[in-house]
Amino acid sequence: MDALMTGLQNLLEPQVLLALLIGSLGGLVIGAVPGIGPAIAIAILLPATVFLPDLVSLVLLLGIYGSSMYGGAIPAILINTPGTPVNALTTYDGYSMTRRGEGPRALALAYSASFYGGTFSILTALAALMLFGPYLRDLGALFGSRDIFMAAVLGMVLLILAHRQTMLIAAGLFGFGMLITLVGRQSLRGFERYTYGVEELASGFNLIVVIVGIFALSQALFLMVGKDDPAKEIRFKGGLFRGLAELRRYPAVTAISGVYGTIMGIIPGVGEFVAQFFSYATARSMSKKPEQFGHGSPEGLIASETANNAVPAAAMIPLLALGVPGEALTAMMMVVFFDAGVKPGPDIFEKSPDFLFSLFIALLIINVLVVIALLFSTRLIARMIFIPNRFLGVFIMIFAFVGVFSIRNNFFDCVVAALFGFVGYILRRLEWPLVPVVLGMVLGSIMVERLTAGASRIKTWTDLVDRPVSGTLAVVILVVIAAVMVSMVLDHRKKNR
Amino acid sequence: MTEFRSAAPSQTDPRQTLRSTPANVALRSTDQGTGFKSFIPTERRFNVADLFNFTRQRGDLLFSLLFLGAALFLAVSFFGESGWADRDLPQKRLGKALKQPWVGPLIAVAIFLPAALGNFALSWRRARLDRRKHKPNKTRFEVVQWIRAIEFIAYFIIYTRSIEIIGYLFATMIFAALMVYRLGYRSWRWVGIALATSFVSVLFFRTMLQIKTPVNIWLYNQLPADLARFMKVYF
Repeated sequence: MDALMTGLQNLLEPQVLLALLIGSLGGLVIGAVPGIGPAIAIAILLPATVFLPDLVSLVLLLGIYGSSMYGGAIPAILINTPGTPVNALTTYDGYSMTRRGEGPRALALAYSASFYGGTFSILTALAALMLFGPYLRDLGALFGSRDIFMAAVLGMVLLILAHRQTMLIAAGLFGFGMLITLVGRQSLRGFERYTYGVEELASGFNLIVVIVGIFALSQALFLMVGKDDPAKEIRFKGGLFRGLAELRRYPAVTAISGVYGTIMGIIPGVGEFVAQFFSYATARSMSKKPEQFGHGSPEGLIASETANNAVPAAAMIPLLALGVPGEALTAMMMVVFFDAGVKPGPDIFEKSPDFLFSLFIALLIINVLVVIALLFSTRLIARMIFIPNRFLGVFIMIFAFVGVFSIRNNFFDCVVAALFGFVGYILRRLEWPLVPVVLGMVLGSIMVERLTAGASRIKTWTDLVDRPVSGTLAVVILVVIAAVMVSMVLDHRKKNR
Repeated sequence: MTEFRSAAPSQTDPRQTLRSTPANVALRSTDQGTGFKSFIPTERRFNVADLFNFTRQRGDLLFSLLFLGAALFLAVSFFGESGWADRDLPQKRLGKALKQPWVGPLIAVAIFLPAALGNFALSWRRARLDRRKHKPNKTRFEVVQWIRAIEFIAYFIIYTRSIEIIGYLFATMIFAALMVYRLGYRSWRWVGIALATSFVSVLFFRTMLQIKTPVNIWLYNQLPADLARFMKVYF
């Protein structure tokens, strides 16, 4: 209880409150403008967070992360263009509702469903913290280097398996990302790896520089080389308040989607897409009017928006509990933790429980702030949808420079970012996933660091899995791999029939 | 004169009115002699399954080959660039070996190389199937798109270099205006918006957040001492 109160007090600092407001409103706008998205915004803002206090930085980034999907629903519903990639499913029913003159109803349903999804997962996490907090403090003792190594391996396996149709690409990019992070002088023995005699490479590639290049610069190039979307017209008449209460008419869909979003968010590497897919499919099978799904079904809209907004808070759980980020955005937040000197992992429950409470309460406040802001400013935000793509690209590039240069005041970093931007641009064009590169860098460095740290206690290979946690995780890894392989074989047989 | 618009969407089966097939686009048009203008944009449907579908795009084979080349290069470099040459492989204690610098690269290469090889094989098989179906090979078109991006990367490098000469404020404003002009927004309105937005972004990042930018700037060094100091601190 003390930790909860301290956590709340931490948030009352003026700087933190301002970060909450800027993050929430900024995330809304960023989400609403197709072409930016939270990953790019966070990549650009990451270097700025180095100069800010740790809680302020995290709250700012959480604001963007938590509110961008709310904003992304606006263009998805009004002009059939998802503001963020995870809002793609929202277009399915939301835009159909707009076409039959129910735009405000669709928006209100999306906002209330998102709010429900967000608060459900936050309250679940908070309840878990309060109920199990005292026990979680002892968790630190159970987690040694080998256990965290195995948790990182599990994260890698889940990430690769989650890219069902691009597993080899995801694995290759993960390995590539891992190699990138190993470039430079090794801290233990001082050996320079993969530097090829280039002096600038001795200090290695900076994670933020690579993130800005691969996410922000690549998107800038993608937008500038591409074409502007044709101008679209928005029809938007009526208020939003009435639609908010409509969510109560669909309790089953709402509850199940919230649970799916929370569970899928907790599993590293899975994320919003799978959560939405399962929620949508389940809602359809439960519905009395399944034929309306895809043609403007309120239940379909609720399923997708509830599930995707339940993910951000849930995704923080593996990051904080195990120090294992599940996707790009939490990987970027991990960078802020590193800069702040806070090591996410089981120890955090003992060392800074108030910090954990601050983060989850901040997410709760963000959800409230965002819904209030949306009720009064949807029309204003909707106007930003029409910023031309290529114009946007120029400014993403300008912001990217700030991000890259400010880290080490180094021109070489700008060249590195440009190089990774080019690689990221090609990956985007080929529709290869970008996330494995970043997770390869983050999880790869955790894997190597923890393996080295625990090496003195390893005599044989079995020592890697002879602890309760690492042994359990190893079994989970084998079960997951076996399950996916079986389902792939079954799918293959079904296709060949 | 026939008015087809009489049936309101709400009075009909919504599934029939939602799809924007050419047929119902015609139903919505009038025969007044004016061109058709839609009320709301035409529907571009997303399929749930499409969210997870992956199809190999043009240029995939070439990039898969480059990807494999990179993997092979890094794998070959492993022997000279990872500390493998100075390896110590004790027979009794595995942990001693795991502390050595080559372990991390070995794990990374062990993931990267087979995956790149497998991906190339799949891409090659896809390309062969496409060739058999006489699908056009547009790799050259795709390479041109990749090369087009290099132009913008060059501008980015020039921009970062010019900051050391004329300062962050002027470099950003000039870069924004020129880029917007280059991309075809050639009216004063767009150039003005670009200038204003770039100015605000400098105010936000440099003046307010005090983000580090180059400080030894040739142009600022030509200014009177007080003004130079002011420009260096805030712009």
